[in-house]
Amino acid sequence: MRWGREAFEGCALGHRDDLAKLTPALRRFAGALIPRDAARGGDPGGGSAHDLVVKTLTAALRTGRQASFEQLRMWLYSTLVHLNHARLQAESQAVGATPSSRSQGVSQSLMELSTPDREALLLVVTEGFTYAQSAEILGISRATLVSRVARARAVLEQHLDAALPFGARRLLRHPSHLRLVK
Amino acid sequence: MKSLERISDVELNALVDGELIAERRAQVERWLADEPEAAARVESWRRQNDIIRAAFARVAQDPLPADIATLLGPRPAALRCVTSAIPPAEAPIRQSHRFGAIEAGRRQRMAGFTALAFLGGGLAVLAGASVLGTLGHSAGPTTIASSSSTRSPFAFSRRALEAQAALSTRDDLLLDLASSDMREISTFLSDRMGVAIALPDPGGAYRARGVRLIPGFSGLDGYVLLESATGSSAGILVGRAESAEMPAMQIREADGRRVAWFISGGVGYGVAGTLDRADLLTLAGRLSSAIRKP
Repeated sequence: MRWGREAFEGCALGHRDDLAKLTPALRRFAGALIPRDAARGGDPGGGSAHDLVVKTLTAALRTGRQASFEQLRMWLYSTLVHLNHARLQAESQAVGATPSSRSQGVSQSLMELSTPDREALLLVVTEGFTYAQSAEILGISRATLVSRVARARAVLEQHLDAALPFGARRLLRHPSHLRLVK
Repeated sequence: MKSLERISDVELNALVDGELIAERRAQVERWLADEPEAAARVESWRRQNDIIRAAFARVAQDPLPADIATLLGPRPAALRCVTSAIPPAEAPIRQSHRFGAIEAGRRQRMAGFTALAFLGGGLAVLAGASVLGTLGHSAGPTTIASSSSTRSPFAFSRRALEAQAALSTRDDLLLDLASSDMREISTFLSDRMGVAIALPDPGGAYRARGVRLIPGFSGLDGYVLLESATGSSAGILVGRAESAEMPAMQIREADGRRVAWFISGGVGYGVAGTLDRADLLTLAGRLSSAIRKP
């Protein structure tokens, strides 16, 4: 009878429930990752980021359960990254490399990063993955991951500084005990 | 006094990202106390992190768009729970952690099947109580559940039609095995159902998409989803049958769907779909010939 009871526990905490829990963060990542949507303040309410999230979730529903919640989480990010690579490849073949669109603030600064550097930085900074997890998601070595994160920070240091409003810029340049809050 | 050791940018990044072990972190922080330039850089990176996180925090708090909410919405209760009860397709039953009780062998497996059938039957009652026959998903397909009162060959054909209507129409259907290889599908079904299943390639315009396991009259049944280049929807229900043989092919039609079924070696096979009669007979005939081949 234990088997049957477990079936019902699985029913309450099923695959779809796990996906629903992970989707908000996945949308955040997609919105920050894709320049065109990042230009709208990272809101993946439409456009490529939204499409990628939907495709990733559809793939997850087709594939079924992963061994654990954390594995499912990593699988989702890995799938979204790969789908984004395929999208970029298709776009570059179709219309040539398009210059990133311009907007203000953090989104614009992130657009100055290469896609691999942006992926690495966002996985670590906004999504909270460890270096090891991020490297696994991206299919690269830990050393490469660290190098991408460091390069992204160096590039951002220049561009974020110019893109931010004066107060925030001052905070970035002259750190104090004050913390920037939203 | 400055330390002679120079801490690399890699380690400074690791410090910012919480990747250093406590002992090394303390060493690096001591070093930073004497290196204002490096300390300022580290602090700048930390603020950079705060700014990036703050910039995209709102997205994670927004309600999900309607299409995603629908995609992840609840499914009919019976289907949802039955799927949860199935070990992942990639993991053979003996390797399952979640269903450890199965490892003890066939006897316990059959006890599990009985429990599943019982629970599935309970859900069917619940589902039947709702107006649409589903729970929490008004647009969902027909509920499929086992019932001890539906063991006749005729009931098997009805189940094949129900399975086809409920499962073949869903693009986002969670499959227990996604494969177009009928040998792989046959092995998967044989393992799960405890009987030898050998399905041939459907041939013609059809190819398999995968298998979804559902509660049957006696243990698990398998529904093999077929896809067609012509857009017609079809599938094969494979399940244990009460009568040992029903060699003559039977055909039944209901609501624009057709099913051709027969029983061989205690296993029922029902080919169902929206395909026309000739296609149905060709598909079912190919299945029947392959299965009866000595």
